[in-house]
Amino acid sequence: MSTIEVRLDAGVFSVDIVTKAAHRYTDAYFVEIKSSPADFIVRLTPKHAEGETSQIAEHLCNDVLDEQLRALVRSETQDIHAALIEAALREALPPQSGQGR
Amino acid sequence: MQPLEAKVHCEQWPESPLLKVAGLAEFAAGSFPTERMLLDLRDTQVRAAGPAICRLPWAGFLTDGPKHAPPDRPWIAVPQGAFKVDIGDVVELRPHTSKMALRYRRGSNNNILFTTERCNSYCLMCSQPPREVNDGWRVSQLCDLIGLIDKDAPSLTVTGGEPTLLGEGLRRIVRRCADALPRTHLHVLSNGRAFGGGIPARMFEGLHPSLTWGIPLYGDHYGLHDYIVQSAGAFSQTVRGLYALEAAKQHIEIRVVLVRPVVERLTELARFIYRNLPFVEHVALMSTEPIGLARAHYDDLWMDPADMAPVLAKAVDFLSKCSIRVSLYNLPLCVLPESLWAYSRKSISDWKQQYLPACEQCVVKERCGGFFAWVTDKWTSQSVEPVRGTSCAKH
Amino acid sequence: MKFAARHTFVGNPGYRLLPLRFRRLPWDQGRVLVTSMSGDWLIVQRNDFERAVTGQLDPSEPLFADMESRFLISADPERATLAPLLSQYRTRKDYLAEGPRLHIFVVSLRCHHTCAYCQVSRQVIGQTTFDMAESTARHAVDRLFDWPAKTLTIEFQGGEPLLRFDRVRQLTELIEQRNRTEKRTLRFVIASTLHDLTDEQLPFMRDHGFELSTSLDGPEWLHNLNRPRPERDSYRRTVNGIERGRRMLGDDAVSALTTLTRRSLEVPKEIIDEYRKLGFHSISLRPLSPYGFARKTGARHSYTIADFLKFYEAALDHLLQVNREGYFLEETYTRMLLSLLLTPFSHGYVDLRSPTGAGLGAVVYDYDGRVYPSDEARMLAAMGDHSFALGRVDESVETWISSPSMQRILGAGVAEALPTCADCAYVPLCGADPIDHYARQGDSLGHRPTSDFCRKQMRLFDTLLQRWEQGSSVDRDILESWALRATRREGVLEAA
Repeated sequence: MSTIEVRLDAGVFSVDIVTKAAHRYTDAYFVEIKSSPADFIVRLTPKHAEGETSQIAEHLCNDVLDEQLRALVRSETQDIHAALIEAALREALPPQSGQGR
Repeated sequence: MQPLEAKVHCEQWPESPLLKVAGLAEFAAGSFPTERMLLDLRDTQVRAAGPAICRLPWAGFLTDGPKHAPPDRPWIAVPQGAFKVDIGDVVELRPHTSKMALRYRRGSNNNILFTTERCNSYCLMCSQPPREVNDGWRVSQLCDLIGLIDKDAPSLTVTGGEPTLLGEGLRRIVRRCADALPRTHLHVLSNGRAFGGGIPARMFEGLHPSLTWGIPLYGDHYGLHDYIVQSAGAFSQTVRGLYALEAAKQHIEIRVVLVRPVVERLTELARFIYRNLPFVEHVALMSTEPIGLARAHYDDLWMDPADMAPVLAKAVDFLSKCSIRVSLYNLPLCVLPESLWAYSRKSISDWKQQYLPACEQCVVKERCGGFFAWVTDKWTSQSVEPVRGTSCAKH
Repeated sequence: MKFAARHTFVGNPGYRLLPLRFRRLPWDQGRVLVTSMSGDWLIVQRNDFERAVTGQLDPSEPLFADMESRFLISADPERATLAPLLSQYRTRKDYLAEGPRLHIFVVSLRCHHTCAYCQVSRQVIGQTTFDMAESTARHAVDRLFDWPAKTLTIEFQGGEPLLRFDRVRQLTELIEQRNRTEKRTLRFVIASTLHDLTDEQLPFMRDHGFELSTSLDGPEWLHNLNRPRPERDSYRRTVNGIERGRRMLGDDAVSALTTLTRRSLEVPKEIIDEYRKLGFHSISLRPLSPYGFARKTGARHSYTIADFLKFYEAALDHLLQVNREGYFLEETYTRMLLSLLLTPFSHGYVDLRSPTGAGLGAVVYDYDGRVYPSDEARMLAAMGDHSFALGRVDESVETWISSPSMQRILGAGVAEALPTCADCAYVPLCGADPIDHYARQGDSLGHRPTSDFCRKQMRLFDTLLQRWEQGSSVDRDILESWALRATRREGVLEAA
């Protein structure tokens, strides 16, 4: 079973993003991440013989790009997210049970 | 088209009253004070009752001419062909200008309670252009009028201008209807903006046994809606107002005038209504009334209704699947695909409705709502033509 | 009066992002599904989405309005309102408002059958120690009304609840009597094999508006194979019970569910055709869970989620075909998922919720007086693990709510807060199942990439979204007819 290696530029991607993206593959692959100042090397080794390897590198790159967008969205919306949920639930919370309706 | 106001001959009226036109039935029923009634001496049955009946304390008499009224009593004569007024109607007489206006017509499909000329929106197609006037006096007059309307009137529409600008006055009117006309459905046309901040919608909770609100929404985002109503912030207020009305357990209808920019996003609007306002009980999709401000904005607004057919079909289909009732107003059947005919209503008020000469040959004329009396060629679809045959034997 | 042009109503230029999540479409990597905080959504080209996230959208683009109207972005805050987003969110979560609506009363563990996969760990007939005692029943009724929900669904389960019908009758009468002052809306359901229904039981059920929920695994050979009785005639008795139930209570009052064994997975069409043959308009295709005897006999009878998903695709194909032929037949879980995708509403099922339905949406009162937040928790206890038991019927509801079990559930019960779930595009529609994750993975938080629950959910959402998006208009209409049709079946979960 061949290990796939993917190199990612550490100047472009943060360790959080690479880790999150790689985490998705932990169902079917053993995942190893080696980091240096210049780059990350992500090694994916299929757990089973039938592991799908043909486009894994491309998929991982896509996932890393997606995680980067997610990080951007998170940084912009974290605060309003919490505020919105609090505002929404403030009116929707149930009465204390057992104490009448 | 039937005029609602005319010059009349009248004498001996000290003031400008609201009067109920009465015949023998009204007299016998005793539903209204005799002092508020105008005895209709044109009516053969009334005349047959003899002169004794005239001695009662009627407000006055409706006659064919001055000779027919009892001496020294107030009378009104309507010139031949000027104005249709019948027993059961309510009229307002303005003796100093010799004018009489119809305020309620028995049997009409659209009696309105006109609350104010003021409005806080300036819709591009407004059929009742607003005026900044102090017309708060209308509230009392309407409360008076409500007392003279038939108890079995099926429905009344509260309109304007913007009725919520009356504030507490609107509540008074609705309350008066609940008390005097408990069996009459009340439909209030409002932009709902005041309930988005300012007026608590809960003042209407439980106030009237059969009350609905007709509220326009023109887009699924503020840029479109605010443009149509020419008022920044209107969308936000109207939407918040809708939620306030829902929380106050009100019944809500959304009204959409089918001007071109609105039609271009109609399916998105339908989706928006379902996702965000699923409590809406009815959506009325209405062709533009070519009067008032609409005329000045023809180029921005006009779209041949026949060209709307695919979008209308999609929107109607979607809303129906979501169990939201839909109706098409002001659209003649010939411009609609037959699959949409079931949704079309005869919505144009009788006094401003007409058929075109082409309609004489049409086999579905009776089912069709026809046209506005003031329609012109450029506001008429290119596709108007009599329907010669339909695919359904029932029609 | 001067009229202003359209562009003057844009307001302050620019826009902000609202909380959103996204997922590349498995069937088209160039496009993404973008979901809002409340589960409204839009499918967009990925490069357009990237433009949107990096502030490059122009207000005159249709995409701008499309994202605005779904509350994925927001423009001028002076002119926009987020009230609809909040309203959507509340609507989606409105089951929170009233506390648990589903209350399961396990009146007996005894049963006629010896099903290998049985989740219930049933006992043989004759042993009344596995029946609910009267004192337990009375306490349970008191606890039932300590909850605030205005609508209460009372479901009788077992074993086979008909074997202790006297207890069912007593509970019903106690509940109705108490309800004279409480004035809740009550719904009674009995989950039963419907075997040996007596002439005494049926009229009682009719008089109290019972709904019957039974198990029908498929054609006769499959049903009997899955559900052995000494007499080998489970199917015949079930069909007989269905007919008698329908006659006395009406067709709408009788529903059926399958339990899928490994053998079942080989015959999706036959199972569906059987339901059509018997005149059902609703089928429930439930995969086995790792509880009860199912876990003990695992190797012989178990199958993977991948196996189930293959079965599901074939079943869905056949269901669509049946519907195309003019026979309305929906699958209940599919309907629930489609309603999540296509409507703004919450659904009545307790098993796909965030916060989790365990304890918050349902309560189980066991025959022995122990109380659980879900059937799964009860099954774990029957296997010796009491981690999720809430307490006893003679304790107060407040005790249950503040119990360590409940804390454990709540700690892992909000999907939006769980790792990996937090970023998933489907999370506004999905649920947390801490007990399931505990049972399968040994940890209530769970590990999503290897979670069967997650795999199943994502795949089902993907499949249905793809079928709806890419299907013919006929198929779209069918899927929508399932999702948009009002239903009475919510909340009915289990059958013997």
